[in-house]
Amino acid sequence: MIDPADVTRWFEAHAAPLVLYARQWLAGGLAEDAVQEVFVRLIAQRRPPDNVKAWLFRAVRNEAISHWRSSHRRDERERRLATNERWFEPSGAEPIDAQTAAETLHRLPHDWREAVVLRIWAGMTLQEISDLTGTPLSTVFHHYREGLRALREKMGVTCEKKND
Amino acid sequence: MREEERLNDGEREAEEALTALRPIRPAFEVSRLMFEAARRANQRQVWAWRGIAAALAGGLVLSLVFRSPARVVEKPVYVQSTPRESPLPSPPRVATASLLDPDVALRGGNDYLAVRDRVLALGIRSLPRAQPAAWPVAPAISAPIEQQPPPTDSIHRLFDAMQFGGRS
Repeated sequence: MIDPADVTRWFEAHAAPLVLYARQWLAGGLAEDAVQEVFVRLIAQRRPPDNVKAWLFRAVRNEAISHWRSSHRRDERERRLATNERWFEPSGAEPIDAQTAAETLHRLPHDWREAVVLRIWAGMTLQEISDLTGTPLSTVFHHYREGLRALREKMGVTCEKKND
Repeated sequence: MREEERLNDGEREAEEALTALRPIRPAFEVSRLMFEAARRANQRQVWAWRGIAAALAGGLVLSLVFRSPARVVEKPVYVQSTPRESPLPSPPRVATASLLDPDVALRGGNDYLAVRDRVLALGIRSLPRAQPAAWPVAPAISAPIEQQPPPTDSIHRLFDAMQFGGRS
């Protein structure tokens, strides 16, 4: 069994980005359920994986995609409604609006959005994203760059206003 | 080339602006995760024991269904007999054992025990014939009456008995 102190440390560091990552496929409480399932599986391990962060994100990705494939028809209506759910903490001090960022991010192509979420909020390098998604490094960089460009174009006015 | 160096200023600015956003924390806590993990571990243990019990039960049923018939092995067994002392007194012998003994039943003699044994063994027909009563018997007539001389003495005694009532 894994040390509970290590589990607490991993939970504090990765739980929120993992839920945000799972929201790329699952809506509502399903994303949190997927993350919880992955953490429970991690606790049941005899010894921790070598790279806990990579293990967690890979497990959440597999869990979310598996759940999405089995029920995406049923949850299509729920996914459409989920565009209004909150993805970020609304503190008010950010240069861009949290709800606008979430809505803009939700409208991005999936590959672009995945690269942006993993690079910015999970703190992964492009090489780690490439290993996780099985996509070539150059393709990952292209997705990330296109995602950033689209976000900047769609929220440029807001960024400029906030920066002023 | 590092990936950051390939981004232009606008992209890097957008990256920094997005980094300031904090994803929402999940609603569950670590304690819930630990509790759920412990519950599942116990559940797995229960299922493991159920599996073991089911396997044992299945093996038992299969062994009962497919067991080979019992093989009879004949072996000579030598037992040294020892006189056994009965703690209880032997029951009294009944008379029927001796009554069926033909030697006893056909034992000669007319004493009581011999007659009793024969009657019990052979029935009432084995009783000896009764002796005739000791009545006076008339003398046997060997010749026709016309040819015999008249029994004067007997006639006289009979006549006297009829005439005088046997007082002579």
